[in-house]
Amino acid sequence: MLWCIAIFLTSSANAQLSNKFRLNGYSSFEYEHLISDEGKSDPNGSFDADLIDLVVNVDVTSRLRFATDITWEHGTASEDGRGNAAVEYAFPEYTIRNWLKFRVGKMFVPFGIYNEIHTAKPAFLAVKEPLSTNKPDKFGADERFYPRWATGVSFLGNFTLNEIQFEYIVQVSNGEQENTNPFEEDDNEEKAIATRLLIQPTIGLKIGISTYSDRITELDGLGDDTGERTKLSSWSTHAEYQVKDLGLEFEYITGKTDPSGAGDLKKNALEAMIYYSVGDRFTPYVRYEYLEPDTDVDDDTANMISFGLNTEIDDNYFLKLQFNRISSGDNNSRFSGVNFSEFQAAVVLGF
Amino acid sequence: MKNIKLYISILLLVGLACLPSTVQAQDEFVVIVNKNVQETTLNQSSIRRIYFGFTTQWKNFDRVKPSYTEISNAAFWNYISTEKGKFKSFWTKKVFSGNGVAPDEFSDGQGVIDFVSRTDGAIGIIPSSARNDIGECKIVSLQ
Repeated sequence: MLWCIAIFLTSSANAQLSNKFRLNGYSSFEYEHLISDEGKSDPNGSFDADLIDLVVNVDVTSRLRFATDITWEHGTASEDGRGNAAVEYAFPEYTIRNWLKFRVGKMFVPFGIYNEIHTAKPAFLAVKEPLSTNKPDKFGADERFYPRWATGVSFLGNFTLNEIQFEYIVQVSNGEQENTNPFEEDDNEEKAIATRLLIQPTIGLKIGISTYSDRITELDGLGDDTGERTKLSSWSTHAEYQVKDLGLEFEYITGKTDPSGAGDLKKNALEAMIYYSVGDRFTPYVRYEYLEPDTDVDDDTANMISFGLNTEIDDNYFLKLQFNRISSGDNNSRFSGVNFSEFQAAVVLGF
Repeated sequence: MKNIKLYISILLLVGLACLPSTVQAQDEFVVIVNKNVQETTLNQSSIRRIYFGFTTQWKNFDRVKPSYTEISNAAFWNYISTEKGKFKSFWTKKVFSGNGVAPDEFSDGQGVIDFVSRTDGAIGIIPSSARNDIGECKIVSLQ
């Protein structure tokens, strides 16, 4: 049924069903294969029906917009307990002025370049979002710099000063927790706060600063609140620059986890990419990722260099081919110093 | 004397090339709005902010609903300092992250005129050749 809707919509130039209702979406199909003899990749060369998402926007009134993204991942079949269905975000947005809007509901945490588009594969060049900055737990870190989603309130807006464009967002939410559903209730009084400021001093250059802070409830052996909190704080800076067909992006994140009864843990990550569009169809790119999972531990870093080609086969229909080389120190908890190479491919559609 | 004439010619050519892009733009496309939109003039910066989704309200608080044609000419993309591919890529990110609704795209100028006519808050880009056939829409002056 969903595919019928998708095919129907992509057959028209625009997925507009009425002036107030808009349906968009995207899908991703992936392949991954370990090239080396050993390493944390897929030795079998598997296909992955990665995801299909439907994005709905409704202009309820001239000031009120409702937005939601519903996802079905990995060939969801609930009867067999396979795959995953989820609400990526669902919120009404009320506009007071362009410089002041409010959202309430489940939202992406507005952090850095990628978190808000991490599932939207047509929205970026590479096969996957950078692991070092977005999924450091898959790159040797104990936990992420910030959670993917949050339930709470955001206020945001944009304005121009001296021809410089500013966008800001402040999000107050329940934050992340283990013992209850953070999208339903908070397990402590402390709220998580995420902020991001984007500055566009010239047409092709965008600079961003993001922060995230939270207090995580510490549990005892029975899963009860000990009354103690682990402080989590992260900040990042990023830049995106495009001139003609050449593009650059860079992001650096540093984070600190500070448990009540132990020393703090600091970690850093960066991601940098350069790409060049040829004829608006072919875009080769090179990306570098680096993670230091714990600044107090030696030889635990991991890095990845990726060489890829993104080809737009048809309007918003892309083929991505990518070669990754992953290297790590012996004390990296994920890769344990085993260096390896892998091949990834994806076919993604946006409509 | 020959040199002086040559210099003057070069200066004139350079001067013409440096004329504000609005003068060139107005020769190639026209900006129209729904009859209920109060604004009568817009500048390059405000058009750009509308088409990139930063301005979402008119003065009367109606939602701004931008539109354009599939075959919008290069002058329009130059006018808002982008290219069609980059514009679509920008909106792919914005829509999928939940941060806005992309401008409506129509196959020709008549589609834009029909949309702008029937939609409160709509604004559209049409070829200059269609300026005498805009029905109830209003033409906006570019500053």
